[in-house]
Amino acid sequence: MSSQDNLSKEATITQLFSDAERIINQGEYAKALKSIDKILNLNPKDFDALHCKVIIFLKLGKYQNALDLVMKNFSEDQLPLERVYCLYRLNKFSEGAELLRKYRTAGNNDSGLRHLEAQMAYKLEDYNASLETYYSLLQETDSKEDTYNDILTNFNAAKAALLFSGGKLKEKY
Amino acid sequence: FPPEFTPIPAKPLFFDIAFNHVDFPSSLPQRAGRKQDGSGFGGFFGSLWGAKK
Repeated sequence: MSSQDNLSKEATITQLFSDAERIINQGEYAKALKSIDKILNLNPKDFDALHCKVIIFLKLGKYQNALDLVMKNFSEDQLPLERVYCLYRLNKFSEGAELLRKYRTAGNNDSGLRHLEAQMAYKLEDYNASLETYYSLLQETDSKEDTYNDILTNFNAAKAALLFSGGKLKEKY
Repeated sequence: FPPEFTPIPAKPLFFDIAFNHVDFPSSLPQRAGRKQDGSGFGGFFGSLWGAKK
């Protein structure tokens, strides 16, 4: 391929990313996928395009497609949140929990991952673990932030679930 | 008839907050050929959509 061809290929890819970004901002994820796929036709190893495709699948609720794509193209330390989120939505909780432990051991303390940890514990009816994570997230979040009330909602849901299942609340909650 | 109303336990509201953390790559504006300087039109709309700088 001549350098002239390379140049025009790069320009085409930039144009396609520009189209995709605009369509994504309009929330038209299925349409944006077409532009992303065109990029991947030109360069199947464009990691930004692959990343976009994973997020689009997640936005469209296609969790198995997203997971397949992640597994095929990314190493285990890449896209940790997306990887565990797929497992969570596919009800593969033990696999998800194991991955979370790995990331935690590797020092990844991302708040998105901690939310997943709390949500998975809730689904697994391990309400004490869920409460503990939400408790520490609440401590670290400014009560003026929008997400504070969301965390409080989930914290209270875990409390109610614990009490309803006959458990006892810790003093500090 | 009509049957009596009886209380049932309500399923508490529980949000999928983790999903809010799932976002497009931060390199997207650059790949789309825009300079990412955080100002101007794109920067303004970027922050509207909750893009993290």
